[in-house]
Amino acid sequence: MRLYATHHRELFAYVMALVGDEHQAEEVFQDTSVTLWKQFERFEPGPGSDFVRWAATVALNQVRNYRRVRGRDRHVFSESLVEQLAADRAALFEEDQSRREALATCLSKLRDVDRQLIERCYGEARSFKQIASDLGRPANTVYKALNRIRAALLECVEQTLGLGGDA
Amino acid sequence: MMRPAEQYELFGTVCNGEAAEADRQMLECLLTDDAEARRRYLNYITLHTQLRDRIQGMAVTRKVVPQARFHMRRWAAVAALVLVAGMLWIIVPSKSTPKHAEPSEQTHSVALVTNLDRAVFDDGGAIELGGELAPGMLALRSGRVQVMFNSGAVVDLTGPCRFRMIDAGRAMLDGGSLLAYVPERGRGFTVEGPGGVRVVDLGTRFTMTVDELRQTRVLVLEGTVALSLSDGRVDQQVELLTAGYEMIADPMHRTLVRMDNSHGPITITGDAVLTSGPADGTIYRHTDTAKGGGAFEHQDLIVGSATGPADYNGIAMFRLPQRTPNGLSRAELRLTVATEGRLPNANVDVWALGYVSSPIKPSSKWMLTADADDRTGQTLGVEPTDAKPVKIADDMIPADSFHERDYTWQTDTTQSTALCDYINSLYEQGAEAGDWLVIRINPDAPVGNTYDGVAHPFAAIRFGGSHRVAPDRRACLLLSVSEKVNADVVPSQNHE
Repeated sequence: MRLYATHHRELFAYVMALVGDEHQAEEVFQDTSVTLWKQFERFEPGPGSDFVRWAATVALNQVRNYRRVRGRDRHVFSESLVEQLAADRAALFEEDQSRREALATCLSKLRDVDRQLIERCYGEARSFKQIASDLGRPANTVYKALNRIRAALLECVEQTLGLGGDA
Repeated sequence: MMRPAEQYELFGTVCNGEAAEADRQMLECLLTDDAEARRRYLNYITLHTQLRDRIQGMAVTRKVVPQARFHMRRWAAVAALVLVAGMLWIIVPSKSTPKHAEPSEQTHSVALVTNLDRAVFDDGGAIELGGELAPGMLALRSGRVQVMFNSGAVVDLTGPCRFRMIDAGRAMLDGGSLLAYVPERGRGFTVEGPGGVRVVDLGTRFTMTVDELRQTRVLVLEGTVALSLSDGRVDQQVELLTAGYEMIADPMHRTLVRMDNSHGPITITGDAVLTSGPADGTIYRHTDTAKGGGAFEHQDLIVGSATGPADYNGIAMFRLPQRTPNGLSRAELRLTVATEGRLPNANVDVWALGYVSSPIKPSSKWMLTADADDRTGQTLGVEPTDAKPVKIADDMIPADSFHERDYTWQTDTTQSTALCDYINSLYEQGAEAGDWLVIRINPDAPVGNTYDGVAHPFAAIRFGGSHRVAPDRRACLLLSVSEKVNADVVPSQNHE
């Protein structure tokens, strides 16, 4: 369980990337979690066995199921794109921890007003649209601000990691 | 060729939850063709999820519940049970000692226990999930038991209930209610009631209730059953009942009374979408806690914490049918698990909040993560303004219990009666056909997504929303409008 607790957010990021929608990702992720829970005994920790990769395989299967069942009534990525994204994303698991650390540093470098907006939008269990309405600002303005801040954060993270950025 | 800045705009629509169909198609094209764009997209999504984790993580560490620790061993045990329950439908039962039922000279098993929910028996005994049952009595004081007969018939019992298993294809209901599902191979499954009442299933689903007056009431939900009344000699009354029909067998007066179903039953399934257009039913998801607000969309009824720290309530709205002179005779609510999960520290309750005249946006005031709700309709913004919400089912899913996908919860006899009375009272207080009954499914305590310091991200149960059509896992409200009509009384040929 500790393994799961440590890695479940990376798995969520993986599922979200493959599904491309947060609410749908939650649905797939819950199925994934339950499946992992049931199959956990099949996973043997030790050298050469990577929990995240094993769990990602389980998650990928759940995404495939989801595509099959829900692909009719919702737009989902094509099968070949899902497989490609899965392969690309799996190669990035090793970076997750350093990205997380870099993000913490980059957040502290934001202007106060930007950081407050991010904290508000991400900290509350409400849609960005509603937060915009609370702030008395048009939703579109808040979306644009969020896009700008995320792009700046991503650039900062990549520079911190020495990857260069183009955001 | 899309510039990186434009690409980030596009990825932003996904993270903002605002991606339109055209955006998604553009995204699909971009990501399919361009490896560099894929790398950007993946890193952008990672950043988005890490932002949420980091910022919500600061707030989440609050919920640490000291009791009922989260043990892997116990977890595994529950999982094993769940798997067993799932597999029982396909494996051939092994020969093992019957765990329960009255001592019987016959020791062969006639049925298997396929589900148990807080079952308490009159004799204080216990049966095990997966255990085999010999012929004999199940005197269920409270809770629920599901048994599958070797003939294939599946019977759900809700306590209090006295149910006697006679053989693999035959049983007797002495008192209480049951719901039977009989697949084709179990055709001919027979349940007897007191006083020579016999219900022979012809491949179907039906409910059967025996009351204190020893009257047997049968409602056919699907297919056909044959209901007969016999005094033990040759002469019998036999009636075929098809789906939607209900009949009462009264052995004392030797009558079979068919209930008029010219209006029903009416099955109302939570259906349709969003806040924008009225349809035959609406199910919303609402991300609550007390903070208000949330996203409303065509969704499952989620109860619990999902992946964020907020607790969800499921809100289902059902459109009320035309009022009839004698009101509704039956109201049954069914919810089917679409994605399994469990709430470690909270029970799930079902409430009726009142009615609204149009499928308005659910108000954040409707949400609850507590066991009591003393607010009036006026506060909640529903009719009747002076009434308080009514709890239809307490602990429909108890804390720490796990239900497999496709588990269907439904109101038991008492709850169905309460719900039926409640809806009839809404008509008395001004509700009209086309108004919307508001049902809430909520945890009775805050759940959160960490538990005892350990992440617990599936501390939520999803009941099927209106999109769960195939297989059908939609929330469903079954209303019967039945009135006794004299002409339908079948005279007995054998008055005593």
